[in-house]
Amino acid sequence: MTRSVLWFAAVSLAACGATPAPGPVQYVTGGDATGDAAKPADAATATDAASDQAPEPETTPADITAPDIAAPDVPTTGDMQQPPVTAAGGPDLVVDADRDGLVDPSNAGDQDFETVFDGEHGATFLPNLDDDDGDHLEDVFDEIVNGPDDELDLTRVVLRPWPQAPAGSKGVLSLDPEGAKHVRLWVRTATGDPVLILGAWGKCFPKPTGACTNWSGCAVPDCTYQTSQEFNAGTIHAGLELAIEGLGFRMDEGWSGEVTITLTIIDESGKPVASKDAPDGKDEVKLRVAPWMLHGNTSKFDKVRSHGYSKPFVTDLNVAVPAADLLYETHNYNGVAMWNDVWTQDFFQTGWVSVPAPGGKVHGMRLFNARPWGREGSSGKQTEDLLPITWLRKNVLAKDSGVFRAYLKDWYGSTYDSHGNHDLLPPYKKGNEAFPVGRILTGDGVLKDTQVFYKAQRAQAPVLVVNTKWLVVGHCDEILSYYPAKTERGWKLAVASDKMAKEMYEAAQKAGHGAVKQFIGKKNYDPLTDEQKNAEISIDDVLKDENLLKWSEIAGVETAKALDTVVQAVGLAKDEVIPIPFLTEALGGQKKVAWNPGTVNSLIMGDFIAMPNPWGPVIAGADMFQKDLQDRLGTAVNGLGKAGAGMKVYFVDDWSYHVGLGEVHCGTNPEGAPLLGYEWWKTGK
Amino acid sequence: MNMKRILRVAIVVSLVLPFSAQAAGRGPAGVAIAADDVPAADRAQLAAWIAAYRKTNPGAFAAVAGVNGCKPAGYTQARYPEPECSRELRALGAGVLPALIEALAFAVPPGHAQNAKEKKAFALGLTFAAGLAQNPKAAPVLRAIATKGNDADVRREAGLGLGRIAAIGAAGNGELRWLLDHAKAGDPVELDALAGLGESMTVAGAERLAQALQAKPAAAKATVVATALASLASSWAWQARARKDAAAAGVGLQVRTIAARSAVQALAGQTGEAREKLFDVVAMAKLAETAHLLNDARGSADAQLRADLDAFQRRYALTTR
Repeated sequence: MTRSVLWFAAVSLAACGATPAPGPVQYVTGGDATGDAAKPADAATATDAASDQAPEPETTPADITAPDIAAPDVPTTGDMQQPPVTAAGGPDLVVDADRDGLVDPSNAGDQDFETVFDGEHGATFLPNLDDDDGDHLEDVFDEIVNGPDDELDLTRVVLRPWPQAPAGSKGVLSLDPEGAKHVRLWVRTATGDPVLILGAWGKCFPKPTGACTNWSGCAVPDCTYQTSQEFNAGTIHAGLELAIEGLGFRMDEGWSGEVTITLTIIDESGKPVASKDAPDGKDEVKLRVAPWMLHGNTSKFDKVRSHGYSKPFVTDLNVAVPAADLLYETHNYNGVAMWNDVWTQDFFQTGWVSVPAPGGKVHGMRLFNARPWGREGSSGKQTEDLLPITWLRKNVLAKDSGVFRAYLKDWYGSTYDSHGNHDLLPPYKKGNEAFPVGRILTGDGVLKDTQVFYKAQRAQAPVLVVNTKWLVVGHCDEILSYYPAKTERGWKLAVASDKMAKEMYEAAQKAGHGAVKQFIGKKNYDPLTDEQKNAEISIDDVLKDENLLKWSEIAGVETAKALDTVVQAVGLAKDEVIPIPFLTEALGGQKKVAWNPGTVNSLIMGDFIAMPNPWGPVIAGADMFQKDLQDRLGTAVNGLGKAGAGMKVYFVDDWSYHVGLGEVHCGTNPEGAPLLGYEWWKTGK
Repeated sequence: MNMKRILRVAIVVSLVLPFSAQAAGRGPAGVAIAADDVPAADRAQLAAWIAAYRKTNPGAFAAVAGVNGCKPAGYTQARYPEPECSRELRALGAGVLPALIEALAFAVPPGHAQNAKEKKAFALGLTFAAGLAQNPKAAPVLRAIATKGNDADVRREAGLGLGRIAAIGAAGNGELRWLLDHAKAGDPVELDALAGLGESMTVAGAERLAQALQAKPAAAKATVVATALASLASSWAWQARARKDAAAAGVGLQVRTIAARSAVQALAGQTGEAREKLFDVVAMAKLAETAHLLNDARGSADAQLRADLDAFQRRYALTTR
């Protein structure tokens, strides 16, 4: 039996009067005792524009019978049970401040830290951006709780019963005005149905029109906010179970990310009812919205996506991905007609949100962050259906799998906003600086909206920026990657090395292999004659190419700047940096891109790596580059892989991606469930 | 003529005009310049050369016309979603040079340059590939682009192309002289000529760039000069040349030494990006005396320069490990 079913059973018992049931509680609108308004009468009118996603409000605050009292422990999410009676008395809101996944009024950890947030204590809640009821709409876009699965995504807050409260007293439950713009607070009725009582009503999601430059300043004129509700003594006596969900993330500095819920008990004259536990007649709790967490190369994934247009690419990934025990899914015209973006890494970023759950587990959902622009194709049309958010809504939005956008304007940004330019340094500590859930790393040029968003998430910030403007595509995944390793840090940095590639060519030439060709059978682009198509080139000719070597040397100098940024930030030792050999060429305008398949640009799946096939010179029966990579990555020599025995290296024919200025990482995107061991709340940020 | 037809004609004219010098009453035009921009004698020779080449190598023209990266069908699918076809054009090799020249100065291949950004990218790619062909026959067109082209980036690419022709030795001496003549303060193409000298692989080029640095130029010019010197100082490029011509090793050392020494001397007088580029020169030159040069610079350095020297030496160790 699911926890939800258990909860509904508890409510049914309460409704049947199995225990002494308190009288009906009338929820008032605007502070008076009526309660039939579709929107709260005293609600503040928002200053901002609405989304066309959210339907009109459906909920009317209704008569609510407080549920019965049950077990002492209430899970923070999932089925709701009833709080225990207090002997001491006084107004008491309770949250899971000790992060054990349970709301327990008898637990000092929950009681004593209900207004703090640090590495040890503090309650949290989720932005409810998945689609548990399968209506192709984010759950938070409507004003109902979308079934038992959706209930699991709501964080519980308990109004502890106070049977000794004076008859005739009233309770006032309120949200701080800023927090009210970002949440919905529900209460469980006697019939078992959650009813929305506080927070945001209506179309509260700004349209990405570019009309505003920060989230706090975005107009949502059809959104209203309810910040307080009164209820009568019966409810105070019996207690209430509340549940909170976030409308979204903390998008910028305009909101702290925290919501304060206050319970005030007043007498008939409006004066606070003092008690031993609450001399001022009040109790207050705070909760913080969960941040979006980026996945990085060393995350635990369970699925990989790519476009299906390249048969060799798909064929090779169909070997590598299942070998890593991951699901592999290709998309062509799946869900969105003529979806033409083969750069799956770039048009969305995978991540997740989580909150503590009982038993040391975490609860949350996958969350996919859409790029602001799509590929308009030859038509040049910049329409809604070509935006990544549309593709994500149709193909990814599902139970425990949500989508969002962190930008204020559609069809905006540049190549730097592709998510191959947004990565995550695995967890590290250097001196007093600790990044236990990793640190976001980007290349140059990222949209200000995104920078502000990353900073606002706090847990994986501040962002480390490396120089990538010297690259044509300009993405950090063209030069840097991260491998698991059996070291104290747990990972090593992979970095593009033109120097190593040149030295390998030189060594092969010196050994008498100068005439050996590489890129055998590979074609360049679409020229007409066979001679022009042929990409084959000998080692001797590579080493005589003044331009290619000069460009590669420049690339080495620029890469060293990026490497230095990471080495300084993390404190990496020399043996924690793994050079990955390939040369670099310049294009018109002198910006650079990998000349050989850029083997650093790989898909990492735990101890498995899907790497561009380098199509290098075959010497003594082995591809010179493949052999080197297998020798250094696939054996114990560098201590890579969880056990330090090396990684399983799979080479993928990504030539069609290579000539399109990308590689394996660019063409794939892995995802995974919320990660254990990456509890953001422990960072205290 | 009814209104619909008038409107249609107006739209067509407005689309065509910006991309066609011919429509403005001039002669034939390519994507970068009009044929009239090329001196008459050179123009006639080139036209004849192109016509003759078309008869024997029609595929070269079809190949240039066929590059995809500057057409929507190509670039909208590439990871970099902007028009970019220089890689394709380069891959076609020097054998398509007449077709490149024709597209630059005489006639835009069908299907190309449908809008301003496609036009620019195609011009940039053609100029890039024409320079890489290192054939003096391209020089008149590259000079005309450098002096009369409309786009600054394409003009710069033409300067680089002339420098690459200057790098081929005696046959390129004319372009070396042209660059040296124009790499002078006050010349309208001074910066493009200085950039071009960075591709010339000559001692004369290194000396002129060093001279420009000694004059303590403003930051923008210093950045151009330092970028050119870094390119000229590339130890790897000189190794590649020495594989073809052993005597080049000595010239290379001479050039690298001029470049690195002048860059280090200029460090104190520059800040920001220009100083960063000066450090790149030192990194590219990879002289045995690098540590010694940097220690000398440290002696008279202020606190910021000392910090920058520390950072560079750290990075330099990373590039060489």
